[in-house]
Amino acid sequence: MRRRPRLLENGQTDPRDTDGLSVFDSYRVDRPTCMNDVNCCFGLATLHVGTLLDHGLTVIRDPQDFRKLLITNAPWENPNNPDEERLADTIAESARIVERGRHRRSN
Amino acid sequence: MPVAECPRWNRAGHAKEVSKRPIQQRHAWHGNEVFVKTKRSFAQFLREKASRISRESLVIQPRIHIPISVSIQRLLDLLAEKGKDDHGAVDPTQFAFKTALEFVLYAEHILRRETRSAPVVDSEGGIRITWRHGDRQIKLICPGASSAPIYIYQSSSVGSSVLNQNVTSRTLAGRLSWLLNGDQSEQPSE
Repeated sequence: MRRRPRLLENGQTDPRDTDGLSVFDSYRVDRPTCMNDVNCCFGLATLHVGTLLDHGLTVIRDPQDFRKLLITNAPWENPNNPDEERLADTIAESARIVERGRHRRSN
Repeated sequence: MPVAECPRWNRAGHAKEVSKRPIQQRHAWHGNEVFVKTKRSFAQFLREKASRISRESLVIQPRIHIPISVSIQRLLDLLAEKGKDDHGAVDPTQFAFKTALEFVLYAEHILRRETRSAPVVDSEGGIRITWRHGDRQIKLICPGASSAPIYIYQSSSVGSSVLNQNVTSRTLAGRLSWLLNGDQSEQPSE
């Protein structure tokens, strides 16, 4: 889920997912590359952009990384709000799991 | 040094003079005897004993099977992971784990039945527990720190609601009763 910004011990703020929930664009990255981009993961799921738009979400190209997209108004983690929780459930239910199982980055 | 009285007897059966002399006290401990003459030898004996016990415990300790519910077992499984990954904590904080465990234990005790839930750890080390039954679901959100609120999210085809005040095990048990039995009294407000 989309992580809130966090205040670090040195007083600076870690923006984390402030700009939106970051996802890979499947047209630009293949599955192995996507899974090797993180140190460890427990699977890979796909989201359909059209379905996200139907649910009122906004999807833009990540200006920092052309391989990625940002869902700018995705619900925050632990939103404490029924509408946001329901929207997070809807996104999760629309996802399709394409790879299942623990994966570690190969060096 | 321990001291003991050692009576001596003559052939006529009369006691000789009683003398006091030091003796070496011996302890029988699981068949092994040890002299307690010096602290060093006793400490060495204890070290050997401890190392032998620890070696044996790896071999002979039986696997203990305690009947616990699926929900509790899955909560305990969250402790198997440690540290952080690319997205934050992978193991729950002590606060989150204690809160979640207490809620689930007491709720199951009140319901007098075990439940099946799916707990996950969020990026802050909090725990989100989901119970599903048909189109209904209950989520208990236990944050990683006490500064964030504990809340229960409830949803069905009728609507959804969040309870974020006075959240207790009893309220969770009430929601779970609605989930499992379809009690009409606990329908979502929306």
